[in-house]
Amino acid sequence: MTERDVEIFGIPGLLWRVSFRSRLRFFSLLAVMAVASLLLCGALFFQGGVEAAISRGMERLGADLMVIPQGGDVPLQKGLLGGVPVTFSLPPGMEEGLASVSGVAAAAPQYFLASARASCCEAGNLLLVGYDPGQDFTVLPWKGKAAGGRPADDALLVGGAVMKGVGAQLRFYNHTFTVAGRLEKSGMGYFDNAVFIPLAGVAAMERSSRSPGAVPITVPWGRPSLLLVKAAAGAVPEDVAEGIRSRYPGVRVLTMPEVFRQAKQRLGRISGLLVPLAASAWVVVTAIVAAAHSLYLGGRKQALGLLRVMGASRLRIVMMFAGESLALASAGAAAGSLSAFWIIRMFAPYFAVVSGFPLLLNLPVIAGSAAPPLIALFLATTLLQSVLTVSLFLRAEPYELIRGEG
Amino acid sequence: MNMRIIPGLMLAVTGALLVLIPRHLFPTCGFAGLTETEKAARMICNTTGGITTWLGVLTVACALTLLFRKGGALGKGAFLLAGAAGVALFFIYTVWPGVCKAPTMPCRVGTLPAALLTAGVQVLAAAAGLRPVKGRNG
Repeated sequence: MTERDVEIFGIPGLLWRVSFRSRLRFFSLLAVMAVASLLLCGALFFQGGVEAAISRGMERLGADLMVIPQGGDVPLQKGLLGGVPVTFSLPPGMEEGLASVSGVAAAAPQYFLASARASCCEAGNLLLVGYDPGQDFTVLPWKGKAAGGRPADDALLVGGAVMKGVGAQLRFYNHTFTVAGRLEKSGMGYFDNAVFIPLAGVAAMERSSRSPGAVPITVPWGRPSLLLVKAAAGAVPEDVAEGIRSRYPGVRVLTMPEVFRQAKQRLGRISGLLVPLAASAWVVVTAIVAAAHSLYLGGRKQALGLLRVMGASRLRIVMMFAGESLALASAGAAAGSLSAFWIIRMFAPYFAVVSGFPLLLNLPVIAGSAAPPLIALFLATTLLQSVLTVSLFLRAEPYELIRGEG
Repeated sequence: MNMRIIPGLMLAVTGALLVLIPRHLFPTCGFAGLTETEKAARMICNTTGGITTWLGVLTVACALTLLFRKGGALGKGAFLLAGAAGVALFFIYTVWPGVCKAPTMPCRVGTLPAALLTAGVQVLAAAAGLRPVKGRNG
């Protein structure tokens, strides 16, 4: 601080220059807020993103019930949430018989198949879903930009994350399909990572796979992997489920909440840690910021005294240092929460495919999470601490501050 | 305390991560057991993973250089080289050679985000190391 500083900038400018010259305080305040908001926002965005994906998935499935074989829960979770290839089959005869069960308005079969292991980069590790366009109410309502109405038999629909545009070609088991449309992204692996082929196309693919040199595939016709059931108007889904179980005791009949119950339970275990995590983070941040403020101002007593002597009021000094603290803390919080957002978004496919957590992260999810009020609490605490600490130091007379006392 | 130590340490960490990511932490498809070994060598993600490993070795070498030569042209060169390696990784993963396009392939869901996140941190660390050092305050 020199006379030139005072001449050029006056008291406000001097206050500004004094405030931002401590590298230790700058980085400690910025870093601690960034790390705290990274961890907290990461956990909250993850929680909100999983809940949003599950909610969107339930809505888009459009069914009241899902019928799967006994023991099909685990592969179902992998296929539905992660969109990874899984195969399982119901007993024969259910497709035709289900329509006669009381309360069943519609039953749409789906065949889960896997792309060939030898397939590489574009068609590898894909879940192929054979569906009946005449009975479907899950896939077709969500196709976005499409070349037409119902896809032709040699056309398929791709999930939102499959990197093929409309009109592009995909080859499975020696049969070439054309992409007729892309489903809107949902955060759920089934809708994002799978490829949906009309049953006639699946039959053509099976025939092509029997050519010499091709990898063969055998489709369990008459034994779909699952049946999506719509209950009739006025029918209670649980009652319809009971009716199906009594007619077909060897299958599992799940309501939509039950389909996602396991994922919700796992999320619940993580959510239970959020409150202790937030409380611990608040205590740590408060302690570190208080220590940083005290150390910083303890080394700035002479500067505070000089500012008082030069005519700066206590209020002005408090506002300047408090404003600086708030600006640094806000910058740290912004950096931390933006980093959390991008990290979660980048790893969303990993969480879905490997960990079985579907994830949909967008602005409405962020705004609806507990992250904004929590960050506001942290910033308010930092501001209050700064005001209190500066005010305590300014209780001393200017000459005491200049002499390093007070 | 010499503030350049922190960026140097960060480069050592990012370099080590870049070496480990493509083969061990978030392995590419050929090393994730997804395809036959003889086909693994031909997959583009395997090439990308190999380049990543070597850039990681380069980054670790830069970090070791900084350990013995903190300032001067050699130190600056080490930060520049590490930063350039980080920038190159973005090109390698998004333009050429890239990774597999299928959305559930291990290289796309794991290797790509892990490598790009590490590269981002590396670029920031290199930029922090290149910042001119002023006189000590506070």
